[in-house]
Amino acid sequence: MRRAFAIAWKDLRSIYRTPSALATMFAAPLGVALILGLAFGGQGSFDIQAVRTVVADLDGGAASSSAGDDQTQGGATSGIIVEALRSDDLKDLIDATTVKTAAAACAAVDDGDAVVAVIIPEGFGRALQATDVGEGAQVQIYADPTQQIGPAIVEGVVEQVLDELNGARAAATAAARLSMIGAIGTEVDTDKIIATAQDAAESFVQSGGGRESVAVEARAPSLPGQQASKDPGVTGIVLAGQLVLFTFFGASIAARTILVEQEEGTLARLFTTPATRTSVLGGKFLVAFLTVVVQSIVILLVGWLGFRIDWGAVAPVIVLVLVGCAVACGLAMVIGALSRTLAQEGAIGAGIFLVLALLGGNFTGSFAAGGVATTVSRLTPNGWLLAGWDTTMRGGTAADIALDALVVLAFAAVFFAVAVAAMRRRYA
Amino acid sequence: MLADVGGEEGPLSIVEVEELRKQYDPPKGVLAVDDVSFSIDQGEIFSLLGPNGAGKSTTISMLSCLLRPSGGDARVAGHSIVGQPQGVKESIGVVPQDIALYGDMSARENLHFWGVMYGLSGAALDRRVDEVLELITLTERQKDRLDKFSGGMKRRVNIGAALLHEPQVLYLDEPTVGIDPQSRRAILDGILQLRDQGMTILYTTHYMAEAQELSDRIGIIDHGKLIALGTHEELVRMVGEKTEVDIGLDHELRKVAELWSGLEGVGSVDVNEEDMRASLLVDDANSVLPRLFEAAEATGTRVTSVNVVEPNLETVFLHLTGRALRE
Repeated sequence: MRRAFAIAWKDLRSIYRTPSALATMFAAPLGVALILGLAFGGQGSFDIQAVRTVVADLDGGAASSSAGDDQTQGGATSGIIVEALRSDDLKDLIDATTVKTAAAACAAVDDGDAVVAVIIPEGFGRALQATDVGEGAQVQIYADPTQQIGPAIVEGVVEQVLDELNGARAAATAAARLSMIGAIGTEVDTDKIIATAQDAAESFVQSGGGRESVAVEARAPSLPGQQASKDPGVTGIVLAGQLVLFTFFGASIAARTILVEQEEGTLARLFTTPATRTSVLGGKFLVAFLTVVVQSIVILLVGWLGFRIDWGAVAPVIVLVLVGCAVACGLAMVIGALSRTLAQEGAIGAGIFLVLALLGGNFTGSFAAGGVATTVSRLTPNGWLLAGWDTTMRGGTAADIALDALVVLAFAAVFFAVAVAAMRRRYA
Repeated sequence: MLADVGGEEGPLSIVEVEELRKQYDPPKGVLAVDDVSFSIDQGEIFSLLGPNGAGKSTTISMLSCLLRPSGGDARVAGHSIVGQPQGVKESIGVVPQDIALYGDMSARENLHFWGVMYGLSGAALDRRVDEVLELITLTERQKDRLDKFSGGMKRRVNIGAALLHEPQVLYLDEPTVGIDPQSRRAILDGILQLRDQGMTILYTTHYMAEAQELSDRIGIIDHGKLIALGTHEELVRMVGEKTEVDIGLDHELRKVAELWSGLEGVGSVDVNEEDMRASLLVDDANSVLPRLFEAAEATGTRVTSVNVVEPNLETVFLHLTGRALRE
């Protein structure tokens, strides 16, 4: 053990005496964190410009969004769509204004003043309340053909409101018919039953049931036994992915010191001393481990202080940093032990790290996508690490990430053993 | 075939090499060391002499437990290099052919580090570092970074790092390659001093003069085979009454050499076209030389120099291999 510490101390001193190595140690993670944090907004979400939308409510008029007692029932129903598009929940996504005519709505799109026009036809409310299928009304979406995302968002919101309204209408009609069937042979006013059902449906949609269902809400899997989870935000998720990836690249310092010593002949000389392979590689592991721990802390601090990323509770964060650094160093040792030259190590290392990142979900989030993607990601240490970070950032505890951490640690142990065995092949 | 002209092995052998063999990438790879056997007595300097690529460094690498032998075994201080490498490594100090030190560390830091690798610690380590610095006469420069040192000074630290734990056997793999005569002299004197203190030394070189000056016994190795073994005197006696003659010509070297090799009394002829010289092993220089001149004159070639060499290790190598041992 003393020999391992001596090797680690020697390498650390060498790093601290080399300006370029120091720059790599601190500036690189700092740069990565700053670039990614700034790229993803720093507020935990993407900054998407609201979709400029015009609504022509031909059934209720522009004022229908604030339905009053003097308005018709049809106007009140169409107003629900207008309200949904102008709701506070969607104001960051949809910037909706109203116009009086369909022609004005289409003109706004044609002139480039709006991206989407929503035209609610006259008789929309009446069609919704009809008990037979003969009557129908179509809400028209008129969109700038060069735009993709904006119209899709507006169309999605409108469709969801319509689904709710149609659902309420169907339920009310079914209830009325059931009441009629149950009332056969009795003196019941069937018209009154139908009217009551229609009132119920109207009341349902007026009560806000439809509005709630169109609200956009980011949902994430809940942890077992947890009422609700925190949203880590886009920046947090991206930075966690890059933290894991950067750890692997940072740890390749272990591989490089092995190869530098090999090229300078000191590695062979080390193996002529009573120092064992485990102590030599252990020393290399230790110095790389300390280096990437420092680098990880830099990234975590920049994310936390600079971009208000809530990494989660301290204990699981520490566990994830430590096991992440351990597995990265283990893999770097394998690459160092198997490579013959520094150039070879650079190419092999980068290739392996990127493949693992792709499979593990560093770029795609496949570790949480479910199905085959998640299964594949769990074949890599990255997948387990990212799952751990995801859990921690959503408020998980050290116990919640225990399995992830143990699996990553097992990967690290296997990698280290493979590195020792590979070194045994090279030096008897 | 091993020409062992030495006496019987003494009971104090500290290194015993038995049919050591190394083939890279078997079965078709290069046979670097071919069933080499020898022993080294305690307190002696044993040199492996041979040209570059003869198998010297491979032999040392196997005896240092860096390379696993393809066959055979060796015991160093009673430990098998195959079965007990840890015991071997604790008994030896290895000075590699190239400088294997850390240039960004001072001489003292380097020695301290290697001392730890050899298991030293605390006051004992500090004391040994001081002693070795004194031995290699670098006490004054101990705090200077190694990459500021001259080649000779680095060589001295390279040797010093292998002496820290006072090994029973010291391996020196061509330690004087590429250094100035003054540093070489200092290193050779230091080696003799270590021998006088009782250390056993295995020394590899392709410099005949070094082997001759330092060694108690010499093994001549060529193409992975140990072709002769004995003291300097014993090896020279192998040549008998033969004399080496070096002759320089102005042209037609190869043609003249062919004529010479057919003359009576001429043993082997080795041609060095780069220097326009030929090395001949002859029975009686006085009687053969006139005929050599005549043969050269017959081809219109002018003799530019003649050097009659007293029998030495070069002569032995020429005698055994038909080739000169180039330095």
